[in-house]
Amino acid sequence: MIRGHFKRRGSAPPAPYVTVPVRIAGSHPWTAVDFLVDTGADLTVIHPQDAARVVPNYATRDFDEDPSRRAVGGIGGTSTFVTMTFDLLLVDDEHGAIAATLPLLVAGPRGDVLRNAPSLLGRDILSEFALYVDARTGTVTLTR
Amino acid sequence: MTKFTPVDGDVVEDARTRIAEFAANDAVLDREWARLLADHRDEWVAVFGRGALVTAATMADILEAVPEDERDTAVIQFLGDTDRVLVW
Repeated sequence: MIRGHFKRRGSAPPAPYVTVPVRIAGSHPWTAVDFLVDTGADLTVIHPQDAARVVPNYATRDFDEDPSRRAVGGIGGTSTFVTMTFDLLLVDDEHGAIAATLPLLVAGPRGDVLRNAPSLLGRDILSEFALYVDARTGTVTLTR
Repeated sequence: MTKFTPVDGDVVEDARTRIAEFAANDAVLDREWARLLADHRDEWVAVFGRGALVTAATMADILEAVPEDERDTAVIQFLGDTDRVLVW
């Protein structure tokens, strides 16, 4: 069972998060990222505040020239994303961990709308698990 | 479909360490941030969220939030590893 937690950001109600160590595929080291559990997101995305810690040379990287660049729309507007391949580790509280290598969307550094947005754990990953969220008890779990 | 495979050994211990360090740091930052907000509640005029990137665009936002006649004397305080900004 993979356990998450609730976190309050600003004045918003507490929201469910899962901390996931990630890294650019095959590189070192791992960096822990807090992902907001978002069943409304088609794909898992890494937003600027986390991308700056995970992607080398993020601030100066030329996203406009990246062939995987695409505009993605959401509730907050449309921003530029590129696709990068990451390793992810979901750590079980009892039985080790499971790992996957998969493409994730990374927001460009000039996405002002998303500057403070949390990274999102989307349905490309959530669909592999049974998701349990209970704000009353502060419980967030992913089970296979 | 995302293919997950089991892993164990050192990589799991490393991952648990990273998660624990992240959670501990997060808790410290939250306490520090709450204290600063409480201490300066009547003074701050612009606050950018924890983890916000401080870029040239952010600086423009900061200056925009400060009344024009106070820009020469405003204190722009970068907190922690320059990932939070308090203007007062």
